[in-house]
Amino acid sequence: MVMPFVAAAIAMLIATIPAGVVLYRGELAASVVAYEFITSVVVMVLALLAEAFKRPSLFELPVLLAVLLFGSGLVFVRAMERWL
Amino acid sequence: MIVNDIFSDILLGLAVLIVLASSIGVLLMRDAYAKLHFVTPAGLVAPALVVLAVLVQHGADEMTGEAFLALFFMILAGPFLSHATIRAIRVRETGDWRTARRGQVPAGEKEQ
Repeated sequence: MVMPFVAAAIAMLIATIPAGVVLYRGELAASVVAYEFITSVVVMVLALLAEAFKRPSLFELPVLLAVLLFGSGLVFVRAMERWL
Repeated sequence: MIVNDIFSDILLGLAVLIVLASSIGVLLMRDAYAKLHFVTPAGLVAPALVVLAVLVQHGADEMTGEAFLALFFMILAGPFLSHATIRAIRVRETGDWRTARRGQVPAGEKEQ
């Protein structure tokens, strides 16, 4: 059952395009929100691809990105609050 | 197995629909406060559906465990990050995150 998971991953990547537009063209606060949105979606895309290709070792990438999502998000948010 | 495949496909389809709708919501909403509402479905609900789809496909094995671990970290990070983002936006706009009562200067600001 490779196909549904790959199709879902591709569909999710396509679904990030509207948020990407906000990230590129929006004001700073909206861009940070779009960044958080896209990072959340990319965690799912990595999990879907690892599942699709049946590689358990690749499941470490979404776990790692899920952890980094918190740290990197806070870094951006604090930078926006203090310096930008 | 066919029932598992169909159930898994339905869960994946729902996850994709949620992400798509949320992304359009992020694009269309007026300000960052409103846009932030659409991060939660994509950050919490859709990952839960994806992990359920993996669980249905594989049962309880190593891959499902790691998927649940990723979901756990996302559930942990989501509310904190949303709160921190709203706080930062408010500080940028008003200079302080606390609500000032009428005629009262927020703490930390000097009265002129």
